[in-house]
Amino acid sequence: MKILLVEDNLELSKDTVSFLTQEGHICEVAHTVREAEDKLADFTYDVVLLDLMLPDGSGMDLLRNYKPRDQGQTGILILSAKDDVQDRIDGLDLGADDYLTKPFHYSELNSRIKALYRRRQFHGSHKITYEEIEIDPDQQEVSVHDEPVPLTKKEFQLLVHFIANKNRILTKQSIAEHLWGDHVDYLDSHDFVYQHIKNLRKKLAKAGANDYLSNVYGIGYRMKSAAS
Amino acid sequence: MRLLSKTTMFYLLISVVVFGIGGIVAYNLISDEISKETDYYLDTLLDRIDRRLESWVERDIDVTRMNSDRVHILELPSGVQTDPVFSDTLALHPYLNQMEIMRKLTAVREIGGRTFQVVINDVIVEKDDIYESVVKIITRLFALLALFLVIGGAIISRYLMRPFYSTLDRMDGFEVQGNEPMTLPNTNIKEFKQLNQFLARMTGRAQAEYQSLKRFSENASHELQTPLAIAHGKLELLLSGGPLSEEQYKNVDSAQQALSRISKLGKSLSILTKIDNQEFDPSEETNVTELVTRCVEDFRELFGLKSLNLTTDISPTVSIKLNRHLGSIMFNNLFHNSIKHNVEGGQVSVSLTHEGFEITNTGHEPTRPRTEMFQRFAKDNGHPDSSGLGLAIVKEICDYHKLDLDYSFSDVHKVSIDF
Repeated sequence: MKILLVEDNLELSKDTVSFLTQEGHICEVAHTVREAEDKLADFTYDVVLLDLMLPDGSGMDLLRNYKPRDQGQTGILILSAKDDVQDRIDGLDLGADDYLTKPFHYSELNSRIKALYRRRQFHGSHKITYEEIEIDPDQQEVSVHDEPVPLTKKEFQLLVHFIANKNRILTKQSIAEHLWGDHVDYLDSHDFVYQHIKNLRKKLAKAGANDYLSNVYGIGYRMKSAAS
Repeated sequence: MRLLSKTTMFYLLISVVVFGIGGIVAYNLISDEISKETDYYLDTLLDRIDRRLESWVERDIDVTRMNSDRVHILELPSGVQTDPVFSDTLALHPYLNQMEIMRKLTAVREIGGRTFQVVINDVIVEKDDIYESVVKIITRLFALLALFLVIGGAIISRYLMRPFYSTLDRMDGFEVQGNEPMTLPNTNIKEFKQLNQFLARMTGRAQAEYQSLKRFSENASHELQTPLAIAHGKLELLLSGGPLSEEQYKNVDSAQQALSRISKLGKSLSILTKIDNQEFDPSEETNVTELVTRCVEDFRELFGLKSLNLTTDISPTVSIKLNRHLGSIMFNNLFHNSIKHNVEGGQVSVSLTHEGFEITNTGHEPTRPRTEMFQRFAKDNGHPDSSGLGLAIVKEICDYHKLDLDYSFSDVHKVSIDF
């Protein structure tokens, strides 16, 4: 996947690029609105990660100028420190696909990018397969060996999140925030995460899938592929 | 009381004083003039009587034949001629047949060796009558003046004060949050011009300061969240870079949790600042039923996970003036607290009517006094990691919308908001 990161903070952009590269993406950085405009004029990206407060202008203006020229192949995800509902609404109105506030978990960013990419890119099948588990995100259906597994909405989200971040440690906190957003207090939600994971594992095991989830020292979970 | 009514009242008050003094002056002048005229008339009458006396005495006619209602001549045995004396006396009024005050002129004349006393009476205008007339004139004049003052005052002040009232109007519509500068009407009245110039300057400054304050809090939030994002990201890279020892994993996780807490704290404080800055429109008409129902749906699962029994009683069409965004934060926080401060297998009950909203939940008795409940950073002993801002934000939101918020504990925690 080809990603353009528009972010003025050097440290943050360096780390984000390093994470995205680890994930196997090709990632370029623009530190200003101008730079971003030049890059967008010359190349096509699958996903643009857009910060709103940039030294030479607002990401909103970039979005306003760029969106009409886009042919619908580029997904735009706003990454902003501003947790303002109005910004969120404005951004989405201007054609952004998603909005993530800083600080964010890279695993969350990863899940969002993948979901965005799926929605944008494949016009045919959006199906995700992981070993014997097959997921249809459009229908919110999961099957193991072609047998449907009845999952709740949250369990489904959880499974997709794990598969998007396979082999990564997902802390309970990042999982809780993925499932319930910012508003949830992590103290209680840690127990809730545990219960959801327990149920998910039970349902998958019952359907005959291998148990790929493992607990990592009580801080979180990791989904391992059978090979590793 | 309106300015116009007040000035009119003062004008009328001044007129009362002026008319009062004027009345006294008029009364004195008129009665002076009348007695002067009466005396003059009596004087000329006396002159005529003198001449007639002389001719009658010469022709030896009986002078007492001259006596009438007004004139009374009496021959004195002898005497000294004295100056005529004016005096007031009571005498029978010839037509009215009653005693009236009369002006009397008494003179003694020596003609042809004989002495005569001449007394002339004349009816004078009574003081009472003068007084009555003056009062009548003054009150009529006053009534006329009052009428013209009220009508004329209203017309003139409407004309004169028009720029002032239009300035007042603009002031009413002025919003410090807005970008629109206050446009004030042109006027050629110096004082109003000064007022408008001052207002334009002050409102302009207030708007500029408001904008810079708003920008400052936005920037402060941005400047806080960005380094947090960096630290957060670095820790996550550390986790995924692994392998680390169990101890190291746990440290990284704790550090991330602490960062998360700072970030949430920053966001909460930023909301409080925005409420303080009045950045939200409190006059929005919001369907509260929808907000509460959505909260119930959002939290239903969490209630289930903590085995809490939820009972709801929600009226279908409750709508009040409430900023939608703040309203959703408020109900979110309250639902949140009802889970956090609850016990496994406890109860939560939510009720929404046109009169108010109420949420009660089972839980341990709070360790803090009831009055401190809504203070910022008021944490319950059982929850050291809580930000202590949830209820403070709810309180600020209620204050912002002038809603009554109350908390009580008797077996259950009860938070109620009166609409």
